[in-house]
Amino acid sequence: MQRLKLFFIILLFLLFSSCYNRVSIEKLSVITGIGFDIGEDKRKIENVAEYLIFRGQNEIDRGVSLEIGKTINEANDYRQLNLKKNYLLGTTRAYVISEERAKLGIKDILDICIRDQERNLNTIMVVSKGSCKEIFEQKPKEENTMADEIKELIEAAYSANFFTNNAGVKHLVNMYYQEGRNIIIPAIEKKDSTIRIAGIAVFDKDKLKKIIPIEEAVYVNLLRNSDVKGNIAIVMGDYNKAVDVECISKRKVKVDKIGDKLKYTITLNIQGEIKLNTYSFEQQKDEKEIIEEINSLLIKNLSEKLKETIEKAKNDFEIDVFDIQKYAVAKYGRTDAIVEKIQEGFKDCEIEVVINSKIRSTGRYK
Amino acid sequence: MNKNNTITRNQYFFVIQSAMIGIGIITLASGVTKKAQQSGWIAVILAGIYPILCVLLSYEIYKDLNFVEYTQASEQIYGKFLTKIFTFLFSFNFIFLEAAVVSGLANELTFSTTKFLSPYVLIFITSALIYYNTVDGLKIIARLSELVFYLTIFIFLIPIYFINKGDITNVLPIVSDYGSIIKAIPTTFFAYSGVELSIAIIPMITNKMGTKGVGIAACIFTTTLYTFVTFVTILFIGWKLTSQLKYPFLYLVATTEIPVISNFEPLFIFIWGNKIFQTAACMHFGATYYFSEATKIPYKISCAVTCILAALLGLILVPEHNRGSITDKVMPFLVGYIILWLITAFLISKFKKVKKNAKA
Repeated sequence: MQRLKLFFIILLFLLFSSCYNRVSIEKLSVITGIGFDIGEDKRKIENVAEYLIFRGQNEIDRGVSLEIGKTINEANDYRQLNLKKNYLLGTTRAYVISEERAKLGIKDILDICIRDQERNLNTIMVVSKGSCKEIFEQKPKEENTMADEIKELIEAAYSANFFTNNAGVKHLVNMYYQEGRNIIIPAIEKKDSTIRIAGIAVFDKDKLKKIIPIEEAVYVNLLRNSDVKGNIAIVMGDYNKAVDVECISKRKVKVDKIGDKLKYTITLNIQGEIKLNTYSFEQQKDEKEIIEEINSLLIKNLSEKLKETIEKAKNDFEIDVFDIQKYAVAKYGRTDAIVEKIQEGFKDCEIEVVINSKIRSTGRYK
Repeated sequence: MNKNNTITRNQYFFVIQSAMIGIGIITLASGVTKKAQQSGWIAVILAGIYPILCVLLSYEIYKDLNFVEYTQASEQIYGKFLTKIFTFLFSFNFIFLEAAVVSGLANELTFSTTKFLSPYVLIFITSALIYYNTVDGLKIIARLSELVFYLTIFIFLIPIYFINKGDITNVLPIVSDYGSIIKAIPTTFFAYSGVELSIAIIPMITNKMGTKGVGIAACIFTTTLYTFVTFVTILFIGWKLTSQLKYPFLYLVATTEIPVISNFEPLFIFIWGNKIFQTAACMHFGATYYFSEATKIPYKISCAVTCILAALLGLILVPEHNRGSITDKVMPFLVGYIILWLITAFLISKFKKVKKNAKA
């Protein structure tokens, strides 16, 4: 009797839980990269997809298809009219948003990435200068697909220029939804026959405000991110008289109220390692003396540059690119009078940078 | 007493915690953050008083009445007529909870891993399995609860992965509005429900020494887990998005980046489904027990009857938004009824004991 019952229950599973009428796995195509673009009339959406084609055993090719529709999913549906296979969205490696599209708003992209359960939340998302088709139509050099190259590019950026690797959809969503924060993601561009990081894209709510070029982006990154690595070059004249310091930076932010203005104090704790020193090359100086000299040079150089960046952020970008307003919201609560107008008040707030740097080593040389 | 219905003291711990921890853990954070914003996790701690109260009071009641069985105890306290009504109400309580859990599981599975299955088929299959699990009495449930507890314990470690990835500014200021925290408490009731099972099963424990402590330990374990999960969810994704998501904890799980595994979510659901299934089985035992006590229909037959009733009720609750709105409306009444029953019974049992002592 007991066995009969068990048999009956196992039978239930066999009868009711099959994938009957579903597409079998060898008939599926894999989409690796998706580009979100906008048509010239700024009404219709262009959706670029890069997909893999499997021919035989070891032959893997890739194709790029561009579809036009009123919404993202309409364009996706039209894609099925062209592709000879069903496709999966969960395997996407990178999303690329074109600059034009980002300027008009990315609300639908954010929504679809969270709502659509098939899409992965760890996919990389970047902004591209120029159209998405331009990016995807190039020949990949190091990887099989362009999407893979974009992914590797962003992941590798972590070790220099004070970049973080927080470029996944989940980080983007966090930046959008958490209070007092703005979306900042890496921007790429086509350079010669390949791609490179062009800077960082700053969003105001869901609309692209500005792409900061890489020269300024380094200092914005330094002020914005914690636990990041990069090189600071101190040049006196030309390269024959220069110092390179590889820095690992950690930041702390404090907020105070002065009158009806907010005052932010960003403390950067920098641990440096001298990688190049032609400034005191072959000079018979005490090691301690050199370190102290370079340290003071570094602080002077950095605080000058950072001051410039802050002024620029206040007057030019007019938006909190340093990710510091969240501390004000956390300290005073979102019902506070100043915090309620925090977005507009960024121009008037005071930002002070305190640099605590420490040279850890001078390398093989003394 | 049926020999299949006795459990040991340690098994009591597993039954109580598995009756509570289930579908609630996945949806809990959404409701509390909607009301209490970033302080939602405090509401979860405060609501933890309810299960402790439940376990404590039911133990005290049975202690005063020398651990007689439920019907006997209730008749001593409330008399025959009221007992009938209350037993029916308890039975309805558990049938409703079971329906909510089963339909919740079906909704969640159709949302995530088994998109090709209809939720009705899932409800049908789960109900059949629950019947098979429950028909032989509490002993089997207790043993399975113990097994599933050890199988799923590593899931409790998932939130730890996120601790250093979150941002502390998301949970600050710790309290901005005390009133909203109190308002958020009713949304947690569904997650804590199921603890009422202690009213039925305390007399079935073989060694009663220390039962009180074990029950409270199970409640504290549950509260800690819930608070931890809610706190980490708010810490990582912030209260705004948490309050808009249907399954915040699933979102959190989906964002884990584990080498080799491309998406951790299906694996998590596969394992967590066992736990939810066990929750439903615990509730089904409660439903069957009270139903057979109220109607005097033999246990095995009433097991089938309540199974069908719960499955039918589950069909009504199928789309998730439907389930959410109905449970939010019904749960405060059920919890209010149970607290009222417990406190009244506690006072009467104390009064009776004093009277008896005075006579002697």
